[in-house]
This record gives sequence, structure tokens and C-alpha cells, in this order.
Amino acid sequence: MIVVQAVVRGWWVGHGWYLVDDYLFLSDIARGADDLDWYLRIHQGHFMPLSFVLVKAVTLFGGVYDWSAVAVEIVALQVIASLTCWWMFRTLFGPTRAALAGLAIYLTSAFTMPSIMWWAVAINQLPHQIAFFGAITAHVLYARTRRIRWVAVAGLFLLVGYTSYAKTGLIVVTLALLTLIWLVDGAPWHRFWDAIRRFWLAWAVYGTLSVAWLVVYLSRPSASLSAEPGRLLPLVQAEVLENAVPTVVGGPWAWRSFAGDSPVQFADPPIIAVVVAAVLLALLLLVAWARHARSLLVLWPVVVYFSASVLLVYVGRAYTVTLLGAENIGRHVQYLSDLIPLIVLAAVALFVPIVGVADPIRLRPEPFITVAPRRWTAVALVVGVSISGLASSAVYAQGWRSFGERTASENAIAAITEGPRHRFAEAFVPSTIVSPIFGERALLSSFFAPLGSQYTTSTTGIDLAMLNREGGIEPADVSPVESGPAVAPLESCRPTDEVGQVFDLEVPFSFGLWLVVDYRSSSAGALTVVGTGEPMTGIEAPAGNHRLLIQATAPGETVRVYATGDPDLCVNRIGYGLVSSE
Amino acid sequence: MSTDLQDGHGPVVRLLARLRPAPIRRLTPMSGVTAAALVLILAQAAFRFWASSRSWFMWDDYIFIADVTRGDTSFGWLFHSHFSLVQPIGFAMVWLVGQAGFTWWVYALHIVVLQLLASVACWVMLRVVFGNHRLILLPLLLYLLSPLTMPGSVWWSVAIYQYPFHVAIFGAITCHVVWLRSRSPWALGGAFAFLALGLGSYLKAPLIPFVLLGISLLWFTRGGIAQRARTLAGQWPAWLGYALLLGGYVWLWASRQTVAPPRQSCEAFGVVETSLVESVGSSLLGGPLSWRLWTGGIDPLVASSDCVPQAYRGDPDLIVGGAPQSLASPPLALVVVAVVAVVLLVLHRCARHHHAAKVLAIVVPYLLASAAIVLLGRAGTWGSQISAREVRYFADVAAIGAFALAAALLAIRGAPVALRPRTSPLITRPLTRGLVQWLVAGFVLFSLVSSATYVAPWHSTDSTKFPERAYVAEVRKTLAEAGGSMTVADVPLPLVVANPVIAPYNLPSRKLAPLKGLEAVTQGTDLQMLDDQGRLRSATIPDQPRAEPGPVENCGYQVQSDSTTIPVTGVVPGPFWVRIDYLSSANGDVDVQAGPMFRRIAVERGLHTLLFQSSGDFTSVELTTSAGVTLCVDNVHVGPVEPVEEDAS
Repeated sequence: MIVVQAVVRGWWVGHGWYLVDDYLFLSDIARGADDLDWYLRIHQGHFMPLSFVLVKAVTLFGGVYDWSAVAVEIVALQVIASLTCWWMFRTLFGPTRAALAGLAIYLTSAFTMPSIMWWAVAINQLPHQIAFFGAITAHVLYARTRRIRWVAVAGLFLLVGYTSYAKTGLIVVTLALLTLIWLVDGAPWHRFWDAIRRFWLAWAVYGTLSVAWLVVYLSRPSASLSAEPGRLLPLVQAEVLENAVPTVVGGPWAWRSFAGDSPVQFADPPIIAVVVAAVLLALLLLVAWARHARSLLVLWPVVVYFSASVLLVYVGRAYTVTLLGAENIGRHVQYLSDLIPLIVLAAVALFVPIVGVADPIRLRPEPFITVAPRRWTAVALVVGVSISGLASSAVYAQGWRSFGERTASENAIAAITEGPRHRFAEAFVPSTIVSPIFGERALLSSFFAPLGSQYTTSTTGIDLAMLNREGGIEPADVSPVESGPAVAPLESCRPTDEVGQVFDLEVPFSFGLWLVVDYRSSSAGALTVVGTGEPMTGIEAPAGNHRLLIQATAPGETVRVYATGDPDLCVNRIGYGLVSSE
Repeated sequence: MSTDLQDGHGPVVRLLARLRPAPIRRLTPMSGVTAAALVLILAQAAFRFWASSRSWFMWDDYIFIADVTRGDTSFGWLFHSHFSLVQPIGFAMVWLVGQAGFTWWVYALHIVVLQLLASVACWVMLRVVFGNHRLILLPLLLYLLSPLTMPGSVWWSVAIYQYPFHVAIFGAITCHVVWLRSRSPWALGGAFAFLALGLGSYLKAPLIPFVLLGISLLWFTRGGIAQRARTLAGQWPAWLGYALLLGGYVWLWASRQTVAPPRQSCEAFGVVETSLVESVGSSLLGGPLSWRLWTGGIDPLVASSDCVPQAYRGDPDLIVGGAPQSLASPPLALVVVAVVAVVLLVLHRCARHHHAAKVLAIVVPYLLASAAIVLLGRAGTWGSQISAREVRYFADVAAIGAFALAAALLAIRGAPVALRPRTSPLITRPLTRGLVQWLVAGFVLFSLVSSATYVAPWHSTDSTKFPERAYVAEVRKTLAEAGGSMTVADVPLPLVVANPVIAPYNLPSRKLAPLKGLEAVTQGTDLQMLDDQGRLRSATIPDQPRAEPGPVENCGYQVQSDSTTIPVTGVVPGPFWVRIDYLSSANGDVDVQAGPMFRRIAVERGLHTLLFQSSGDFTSVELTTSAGVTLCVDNVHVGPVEPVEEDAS
């Protein structure tokens, strides 16, 4: 099953592509910005040095924009996660069919699709999943064997988690709750003290790691936005009913792009599917409770983990909740992907006792439901959920095969790498590739930094190029501000020489203005432009019809253009605007 | 502490039994269950009276009342089709009650009486079919409190078909079961009468015979298919009578349909999902708790959908009116909890009792049929997101639900197939009394909240929440200020007050017909009209003149007893009016010939404005005055009539 999963997911991932953060990571490394501080910074609320190392590894061993190297890394991480999942099931429940059932649900669940299709998510969440499976398994082995090495192993797995994803602290909480439920027995207070007394070494190790992580995390600068109280309830409702419930049983079957044809997709299950999924889950819980004592206790860690996850989204992603609405963000499966290891563990633990622990679940001597579920029912259920999960995953993966950003970006990379070395105006990459909200990192010089040797950018130059919305290369020009009038040709070509020619221009109200000067010259010379900020002198002006573009740092209403070298030069178009492709 | 539901009497029932005054106890041996049922019915009637008494007329109400007020009724009128509904019983009540004009308390009283009849019919059905067991109080409570029936309590047009239909359902079931037990011809006649009542009231009444067939098949037959068929065949008088009534209804209904409503198969999934899961599903726990006003704007999902309802394919501005109707908009959590709870309860009941799930064979097809009727009749026009959220289309589900709940809890008396506890229950634990009490309390609380929030906009006098009510109130005020008499141009009322879909009932002559003293005319001099707020304004046609200036200096077109023709730019047939400004030498008449239309209109001495409604196309207006009258006509204007804003009366 693990091999099949690797092949299927490998196929899907192999047809994927970079998205937003992926480009930014690659560009940071290509520009040499990956110093120690870069690895230890907080990115989107995550302290993730291990994840950045995984990015660095791809740049070291793969080519420029080599998606196959990324795909191999993702699949390798997924295989490790699947193997540790199997290790956990086999260790906790023994080599049983139930363990296979749990593994099957994990391998096929659409919960983890965002964590394989989006590289920036994969490097967070797959190590976290590995950490979860490994830490739980090692902790249980410590409880059974009392060998200190298992505490060390658990600690190592937690370290992997803590250096890749912000929610690893919840694994420690889960370990504590599972200890109370299964690994000690007796009355509540007795359990509590027993758990402290018998597992003090584990708590010391886990606690030290957690405190160290917290200190590092809080010492790093991070931005946050306060959450609006009214959005919590819709967020919880969407996270529970439209996200978790249908996805647990093989959903959500339908997805909706968060904007346009973006591959980032929200769960969009039909209401009837939500209801059917809820009924199915309720029946499963009812049967588990009716036939096994203590079976529902495992829901406590699930509820705690889930509640904390929702709160973290509510607080940590307040800006997206505000921007896109709690009802939409609540459907973002990516925010619950890390819950699936605990869910599959709980699903099996509802019906099957954990081997070799102090207080496992027990069959009731007189079950409340006298009809034992048939084995084929369980098999059919697991097979059905798995096939359904695969179908939901396939629909999700389809969204990554072709999308606007990918097409434009691939076009741009191909255009830049083919042909002569292009000289671009230093402007934002088209918004069809990345949003300008990323500021300087969205500038052409930065964004495609991995292609650095194959293009240059400039804020002043003759016949500069630009990327158009489709990712193609076109001559740069200026476009009007706020649908204002375009820069029109002059009534006649106005000659200029060493004395200079004065032009009275209208300055639109906008940031980032550029000056365009279209000229005609019979011989090569040089141009000097004064009035746009720093005087630009000695700009080489080849003969013929050409276009000079200057980023105007202080655009003035009077611009003087000088021509030196005695060319027969005249200006036939001049004005301010926003730099763009023609 | 736990108990099975059929254990002894509860404290409330015992208390009610004890509270009855001794003289009444001696006269009528009323059980605690009966007392409780009557208390519930009266309490519900009081609540519904509160809802009805503060409500007001809406949409179809005006149409019906206009017909009665204007005398447009006849025996044939009773059988006309109103938006696919053939409801002679309802129209008979309209004919009687509609005489009250705009006196709302008469209609409110009518609604409450109908509600009481339906409630009592429900109780009688439960008591006769299932016995005077205390558990019948639960299905009675379900029917009495269900928010699905709330539209009928505030909207008279709904009440006149909803409640008679419910009475028909309860009565037909009662009589059918009694006939199956006793073979009494009176009972069979009663079943026929109630079926006829239902068929004469509502479109969904043809489902009643299938419910009755289900009862016969599920509880009054046993054995193999052949044996069951033989038993059913033995009930042939009932089937023959039902079939004849049904056939007659189908013929009558089909013969009255002139236009088939638009249908779109792409709405099918949406109708089934929304109606059964959201509207009906949430109501199982007293939902929907939250509502969305019909006029709350087009659903963004509808606007972006490939399956756009017919109503949105034209001018979306026409999707107005209809306030204060609300659409069910339940929280998803309520829908899920309600459905999960009901599924688990059904499974629990089935696991502990034989034959508890049989009633699903009636309920499920009934629900699907209800959704199908919405799909075929309304969804193509308004879309599933409106039609399937209109709980009035599922009000009868509360009635069928009451029977279903009772059949899941109790055995039908006298039936050969009876609900009975399993000797070895599949689930050993009974429902705890506490859980049952919580469920009932939750249903009661949620139902009351849902009902009250549905009613709130109907009680509003605000022009944005209930525009029709606010408008009529303003017109009444205007009429009073005008001394109880005013004449207005009979031009369409504002869109939010009267949608053109219901033309000509969007004219003052129809919509406001019950207002004594208000005369709406199609011609006259210096006419006034009602503006968007219901105030009196001078009427005019602001469009550009249609004719060249007249040839006579200082007069224009001089009109005398020999006809004068004024050529105008061609006018096409349409809802247009004509304005002629004139100076008359004396009082008299002017004959107007415009295309095929001829009118004789009074004119007054001096400078005035003539307004009249045109019909057909014309390219000239021919005017002829009565003897001794000379008119100077300035020009001819054609177009829609509008109020003159500055000219406040």
C-alpha cells in the first residue's frame, strides 16, 4: 500500500508546480540571502529551519527550477511519513488487519493533499507527520520497555517537528493525554501522579525541547493581526462540518479554488454529503461506545488538538480570515492536514486495544448493541473510505496540473532562458505570476533570481523589456495611471541638442512613476535627462527609433532632455506613467 | 434513571388531570392526556393568534380580495387556476371572508379558526388511530409547534389552502383507519369527504390516497405479496372511491391549466438537497432558527451558476416584492445535529421494536414527491435556493410527520400488524428520560424561536421590511386627508408594492379595490395619482412632445365641433398614456380618436391637462369638441404617467 501510494502521489506531485512561497524561497537562496538568520526566521508563523534546509537541498542537488528534484524530495518525505505511520500502527496494535485499515485511511486521505502538492506546505507538514508518528511510537515503546533510548528517539522526532512546523507542541499535549488514557490506570488523580512519576524523564525531555522552541519562537520577530470575535463561530462550524467531518470519511469530493483557477482549493462538499458523513461518524462512535468500554476516551486528544488547531488558525491567520471570510478559511483542508495522523490513530483505537499498555479499551461483557458488526462491513467501510479519499485527492491534484500562475510562470522562465540575455525594466513581476504585496521580493530582479545570469534589470535604459501577463517578453512602455490618458505622441518631433529641450509634463498622482522618452536619431549619441529625480547623464542613445525609460524617483513637471555627441536627435513622445509591457 | 417511552403517566399529565374542576370531572371523564392535548392546542392557538393578529395582507391576498370586492367572482371563478393551484374550497372561503375588505382582524380570526380545526383534527386522528396514550402528545406537539406551518399563520392566502389540506390529511387517515377496523359506510364516506376537501384545497392532495394505501399495506395486510394483494383487493370500495375522486381532480386541474411553469432539470439536485436536508431536515429539531428575507438579494451562488432560474434571466430589478416572506437559512450545525439525532433515534427505535420503521415507507416517498412538486412547479422560475427554502411548500410534512412519529411510537389500534417491543432488543439500553426531556425541550425552544423570528417581519410596519403594508397604510392616510374620496389615474403601483408579474392586479383599481372612496380611472382632466410613497400627486407625462407645434398663432391646434387631426410620431401598442394640455372656452366634452381607440372625455373651462390611457398603435390624434366648446391644444405627449414631485397636495 505504501508503494502504491508513493507511485500514485508521485504521479500527482510530478505534474505539480511551484506556487508563491516556493519561488520566494528559491529566489532568496539564489540571491545568497540564506544566512543563518534566514534559516531561523519566522515564515508565515512557522519556525522552520529544517524546512529551509530541505529547500536548500533541492537547490544544491537539482537544477534551476527543477521541479522533478522537488517532486522526488516530497515523495521521499511522504514515503518516510507513511513508513513511520505503519511503524506506529504495527507497534501500537500489532500486525493486525486493523493496523492495515488505519494505514490505508492515512495513505488515501485527501487531508494530506495540500501537504504534498504545495512544496512550501510539504516541507512543513510532512516532517510534522513524521514527528507525530515517530514520537507516539517511541513514547509507547518507552512505556512498555522503560528503555531510555526510546525517550531519546521520541525527543529526536519532536525536534524534527519543532524545526519544521509550529504545531508540534500539540504532539506533546497528545502524548500527555494518551499517557493518561492508556499508559497509566486507576482513579483520575492516581493516573495524573502516576503519569508524572513514571514518565518524568519523558516530560523532562519533551518539556525542555518545548520550552527551548518557545523561547526561540518568541524571540523571533513576527507580524500578527488581531482576530475578530464574531468570526470564531463560523470558522469552527466550517472547520468541523465542511472540512473535518466529510474529509475523515473520504471527502470532501468537491473543491473550490480560493480565487480564479488557483490550485489552492477549499473543501466544498455538498450539504447532503456533510450530513451523510456526520451520520456515518455518529454511527461509528455509537458502535464503538456500545461494544467497548473506554473507547471514546481517545476523542479527548482529538478534540483538544482540533480545538487548538482552530484557535491557531483564528489567531494566526486572522488576516486571511478577515480577507476571505471565516466560512471559506474554515474549509481550507491545509489547516487541518496535520490532524490526520491523530485521527487515524483514534479511528483504530476506537475499536482495537493498544497492545502492552496499562489500561486499553475492553470489550463490554454485555454490549449495548447485541449485533456485532460483520467483518465485511468493516472491510467495506475502510475500502469505501479509501477509494473515496483517493477520488477526492485526484480531484484536488487535478487543480495543480494547469493554472494561470503556472502557465505564466513557465512561459516567463522559458522566455528568459531562451534567446539573448534580456534587459528588463526593474518592475514587479506580473500579478498573474505573483502578487505585488510581496514588495521587493516580487520585483523582477528578485523573483526570478535563480535565472540571474540570463537577464538583467535596470531602472534606466534604452529599449528595456517587460514580462507581459502571459509571461512573454515585450518591449517596455508606460501605461496610464488610473485609466487616465495614455502618453500621446507629440505633434511634431522636437529636436534636442547639447543646449537641451524643455518639456512641460503632467505628473499623475501615483507611486512608482516612470518617464518614457521616444526619440528618433540619425546617429548614435548620448542623452541626459534632468527633472525626474537624480539627473541621468550619459545614457547611450543608439541611432534609429528607440525608447528611453527612466524610473522617476522625484517626477517633476519640467523635464529637460539633452543630446550630446552631435546626433540629429528629436523626441517624438514623452510623459509619465506606470511601466508595463506594450 | 431510564425508562421506556410507554411507561406510566408523567407529572405534567397527572397534574393537569388533578387540576380539572370537580364538576367538569363529573360531567366529562377527561383523561390527563386529553387535558394536556387541549391545553397544548389552546396554547398554540394563542401563540398563532398573536402571530396572525399583527400580520397583514400580502401579494395573493390582494388578488383574491380584489376579485371579491369588484364582483369578479362566479361559480366558475371558484374553479380557476391560480399559479397552478386549483382550490375551490379555498376560493369559496375567499368569497365569504373577502367581503371584509381590508379589515384584517376578520382574516386573522379566519386563520386562527382554521388552525384550531387543523389542530383538533390532528389530535382526533392521533387519539382515534393510536388511542388515548400519553405518547400521542409528542406527535401533537410536533404538529402544533412545527415552524413549517408558520407561513399559514401570517399569510391568509396560504392559510386557506394549508389548513383545510391538513384537516383533510388527518380526517382521511382517521376515517380510513376506522373503516378498515369497522367497515362502517359512514367512515368510508368520511374518508371520501375529507379527500374531496383536500383535493379542493391544495395541489398536493393527490398524495393522500397513496398515504392511505401505505397504511392499508403496511399495517392492515400481512403475509406474502399475493396475500397482501388479496387483502387490499378486499378494500376495493375505498380504492374505487379514491380513484374516482382523484381522476376527477386530475381532469379538473389539467383542464384549468393554460401555461406550464418553466422547468429546469439542472435544479433537481439543489431542490432535493435543499428542501429535504436544509428546510425539512432542520425543522426536525425545531429549525431553521435563522431566516433570510426573500428580498435579501440574489444568492451569489445562483448568479454565478450555470443553472440560472427563469426569473433572473430577465430584468433582475423585477425580483422585488414578496417581503416579508422569509426563506429557511438554517445553520449547518443545526441541520447536521437534527439529521444525526433523528437517524439515531429511528435506529434505536427499530432496534428495540418490531415494525417501528415501517412508516418510513410512507414518509420518504412523500418527501420525495414534495420535492418533485417544487421542482416541477416553482424551481424553474425561482430556482432551488428560493423555492426549496419556502417552508410553506412543506407545511403538510408537519401533518404527515405527526402521523409518522405516532406510528413509530405506538401501535395502530385494531391493525393486524402492530408495533411491539423486541424480546431481544438489538440495543439493550433504553432512551433515558433525561435525554427525551432534553430533546423535547430543545424542539420546543427552537420551534418557538424559529416561529417568532419568521413572524417578526410580518408584524413590521416599516416600508423596507413590509412595503405593501406601509404603502396601503399611507394610501389610507392620504384618502382620509382627502376627505374620504379621491380619484387617481389607474397606473401601475410601485414595483415593491405590486410586481408587474401579477398584472392587472398591480393597478390601484384592483390592488386597492377595497378602499371605499378611492376611484381609479383611465381618463380625465387634471388627474392625480399615487406616488411611490402612497401620497397624492398630480399626474403628468414628462416625455417630449410627439407633434409639431400647431398652426394657429397663440393657440396651437384649434379644436371645435368639426374634427381636428394632430399628427404624432408613431405610437406602438403598450401600457402608454396620452397627455394633452388644453385651453377650453367652456365646460363640455371632447371626443378622442387615436388609432382604434375612441374616448369621450369631459373638459373644463380654462387651462387644464387631459390624460387618458391609449390602446393599440396610432399616428395621429383626432379631436372633436361638443357644440360651443373651443379647445386650444398645445401638444400631445405619450408615455408612462409619473407624479409631479413639486406639486404636493
